[in-house]
Amino acid sequence: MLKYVGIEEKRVLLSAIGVLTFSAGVLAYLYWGRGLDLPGCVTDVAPYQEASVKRLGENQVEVRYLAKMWAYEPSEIQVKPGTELLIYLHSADVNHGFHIDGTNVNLMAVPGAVNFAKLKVTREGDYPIVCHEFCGAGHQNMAAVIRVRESAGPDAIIPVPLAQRTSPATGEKSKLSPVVMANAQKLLATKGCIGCHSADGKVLVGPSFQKIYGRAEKLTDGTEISVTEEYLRESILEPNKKIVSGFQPLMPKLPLAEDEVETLISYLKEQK
Amino acid sequence: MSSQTLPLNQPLRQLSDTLRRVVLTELLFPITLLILGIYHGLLQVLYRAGFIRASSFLGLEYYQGLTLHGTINAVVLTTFFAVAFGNVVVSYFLGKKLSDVAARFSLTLMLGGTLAAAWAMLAGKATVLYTFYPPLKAHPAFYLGVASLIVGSWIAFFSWIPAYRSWRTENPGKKTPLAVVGIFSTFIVWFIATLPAAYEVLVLLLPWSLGWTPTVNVVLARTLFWFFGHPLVYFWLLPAYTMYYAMLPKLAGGRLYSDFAGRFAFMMFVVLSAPIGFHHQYSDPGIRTAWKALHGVLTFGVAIPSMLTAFTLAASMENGARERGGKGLFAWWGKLPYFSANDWLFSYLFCGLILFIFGGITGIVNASYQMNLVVHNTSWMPAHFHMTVAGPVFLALIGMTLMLVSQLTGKPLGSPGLRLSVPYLWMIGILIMSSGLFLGGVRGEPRRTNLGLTYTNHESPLFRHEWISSTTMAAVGGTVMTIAMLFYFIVFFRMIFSKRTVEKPELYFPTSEPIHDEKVPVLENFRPFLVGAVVMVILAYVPPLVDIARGKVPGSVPFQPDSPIPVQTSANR
Repeated sequence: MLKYVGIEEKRVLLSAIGVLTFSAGVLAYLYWGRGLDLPGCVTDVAPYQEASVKRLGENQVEVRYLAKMWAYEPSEIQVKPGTELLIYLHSADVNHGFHIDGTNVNLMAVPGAVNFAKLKVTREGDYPIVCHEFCGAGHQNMAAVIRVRESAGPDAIIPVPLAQRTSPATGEKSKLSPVVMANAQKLLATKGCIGCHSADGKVLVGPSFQKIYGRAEKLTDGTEISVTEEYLRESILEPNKKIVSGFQPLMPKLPLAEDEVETLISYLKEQK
Repeated sequence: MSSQTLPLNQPLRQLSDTLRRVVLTELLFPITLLILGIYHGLLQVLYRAGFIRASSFLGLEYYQGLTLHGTINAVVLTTFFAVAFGNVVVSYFLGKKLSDVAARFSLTLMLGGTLAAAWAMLAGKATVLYTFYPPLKAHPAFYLGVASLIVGSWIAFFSWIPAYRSWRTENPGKKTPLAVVGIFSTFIVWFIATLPAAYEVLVLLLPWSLGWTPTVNVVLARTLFWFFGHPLVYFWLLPAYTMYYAMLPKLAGGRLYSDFAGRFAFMMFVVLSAPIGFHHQYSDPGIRTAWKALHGVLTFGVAIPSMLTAFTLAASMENGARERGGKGLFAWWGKLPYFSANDWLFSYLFCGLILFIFGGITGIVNASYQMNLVVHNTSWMPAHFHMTVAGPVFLALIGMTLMLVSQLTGKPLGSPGLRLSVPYLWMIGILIMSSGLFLGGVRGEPRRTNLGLTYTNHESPLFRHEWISSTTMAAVGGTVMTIAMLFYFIVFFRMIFSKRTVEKPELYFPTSEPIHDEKVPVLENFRPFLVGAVVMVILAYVPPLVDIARGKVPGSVPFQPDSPIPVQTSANR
């Protein structure tokens, strides 16, 4: 067929093939020279429904992330610089994305198949993770973080003491101190609360936080209660013990420290 | 299928009354729907930049609007246009009458399907985006609607085949008109692509969404979707290529540099469009890297006909410019009819080509195996495809729609100033918007996300200041694009509501003659390339599909987008 091709066209075809060969060469170098590959088929880990964090060695931590509407478990881990993370990812419900900003870890969480990537964290700081595949109404709330700190403990797991947390200042008008407010909002986001509970009265998966304190609610067993501090505490710690009528027992038990529970309660009391 | 023969090589300038009405409906209906598609394009950039910080605006939710934006603009508009354009091109260039019955039947299926899917989306029962990945479940009407739209487009294609065959018998040894080769390539690619889509929609998703089957294999569904999803982009692109090869050189005032290049490019697309879908699934689990690498290499291969096209078109435009008195190594660029009231279609095609330079280069980045991990599902992706499907494809489509509607109704094309400003404003708008999205993409800004509620809302604890400049830039570009489309709709509907000035409206396509008219017998026949396409599809898809089927992926029960509780159906209760 080449006899039909003029000399200029031949040159163009050759340069096109040249450009593509060069690009392919770069990719081949990245693969063989730098060991960079795509995620493939994971055969040693079966699809799981429980997230876990496990230290494998002094500088190696295995994290089994579970992505679900609309949070990751664990939502926050803390490790020392130089740690190699073996990241597994699975979805409990629909498709989710998992991109650790500024790294080559970019995975899809697909129900039925486990994904895998390796990441060595070198610099101190926060590595934010966002969901980048549409997963429903709370998609834009689905985020997590890997904190890399010299001061990280050996178990690589949250909760991190509240005092260590830095939060953006907010300009909300509230009786709460800006610090408590910021901490509460951070908790609501990182624990995935706002995926199911709105602050504006809209009914999502769970009851809205708007004017929740003092509200009269009817429970599934028929009893009528008024939302008190005690009720809030119980509902945070034992989420499925009492369920408001019209909702379902779906909220997971969250590993919360006492000061975090306090923060959430004082925030909820102020939701007007 | 009736095919009345006319004198050889005489273009058919008048369609039958039925076909004329069918084609006009196929052009008018999606352009009207496009108003909604464009409206939510604008809203999206405003949400993303944090100008709207809510989950919905005027009763339309963000993700519901995003579903409409993708489905209307990328699937409904493009399919209707390809069928309408095909109906006209095949009858005009072959000089054949097509079957009225088939045309009407195909339009009915396409209209009915679109209305069903539009109802599901507008009622909020199909907020699943245009990729409709399970286990997010849409209303069965959405899946049925999509299937009906696809089957309707097949019917039109099937009705062209007898016309083509009889032309071939009547014209032994003659080359098929290049535009007809382009349209047939478009629909061969489409037919191959839509088989896995039809299987996914009708066999996997529809019974599952009706509650007849309890679970669906999500890895398989995603693979089938992208088996359809990448050739889909060539189905969008090839009608534009048809205009580029068959009409652009004439509009530029010259001739097509090489007839061989056009035919070769179309045949390459027939062979290589389908076996490359895994480059959309580089980040997916459950697929071996060897298959991903194979598809990656083949994706590089499909870049070659596009690069060849870029050269051929530049050479053809140079020929046109020199015919118009252009001189020098570069000075001839100044002689092209950028703002010609007569050859106005040139500006639509030209602006699309400029955008496609960037669309093509970023496409190679996306295909680049590990490099894809930097940009996968970030806003880089919409930046890329707004420079392809919303660039050359869209501009060629709206330009040709304007021309065809005017010719078929006999109504004059007024507003030359506005008409000529549309492609340039649109191009500038896209260049700004996509620059913002590219920039955000390399900074990790996710696509398909209502950023305004959290990441670009300074009151949210998830606020990310580094995404403010990029999303603001995208909002500026999106606004310019909306203004361009506002101008377009003014031009379009002013024409529709004006008085007919031509009693017997006639079709006319500016048709390029070739400079180098190479005779390459092997390119004169689709058969070897069809066989090639089937072989490539088998090589590239059968082993991984067997792999996935053997992998025993646990099935998934359906979910609604607004709840993490699975939907209870009769099959999974």
